[in-house]
Amino acid sequence: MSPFELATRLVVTDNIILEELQEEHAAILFDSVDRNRAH
Amino acid sequence: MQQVDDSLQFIRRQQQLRAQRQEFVLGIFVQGELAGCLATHLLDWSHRKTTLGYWLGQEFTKQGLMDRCCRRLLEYLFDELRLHRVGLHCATDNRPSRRVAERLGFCEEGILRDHEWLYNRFVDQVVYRLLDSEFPRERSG
Repeated sequence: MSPFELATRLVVTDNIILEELQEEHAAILFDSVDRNRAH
Repeated sequence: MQQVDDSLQFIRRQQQLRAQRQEFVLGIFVQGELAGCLATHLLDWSHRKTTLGYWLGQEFTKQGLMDRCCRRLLEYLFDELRLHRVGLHCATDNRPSRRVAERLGFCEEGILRDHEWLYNRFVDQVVYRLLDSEFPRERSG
């Protein structure tokens, strides 16, 4: 991978994945994460 | 963010910034459910540095989730993107965020007075840094 290609997916564990947000995530991002942001 | 449209605009803006290699956001998905986000703000390729941001939904706190996710992202930033320095700013009274930073090995560098307008008031921010050489990598095997 070129250093200028940014990862869209990083695996933390089998159950925890870091992945690029898509537009379809906007509602859940607002409802579950941003409105109830802990830190 | 005040409404869903703000979240949508945020995602679209992040897609543009990613395409320009300026910064990127990754959602934290736990068993397929979006739990929070991790972000790099302003990737500075000339000086091989960036700053980290993170936030988590209330129900996903106190499980060590952010520590594990940040550690994975830091491995990526240092070992694959070959960055030298990662900074982190957070409100001085944001104890949960500060504990995450400190557990990851970030060092406090100072306080920025009235640096951010939050909750209808100016708040101080603490500045942390983590250098590639300071990142406590976990040994495998």
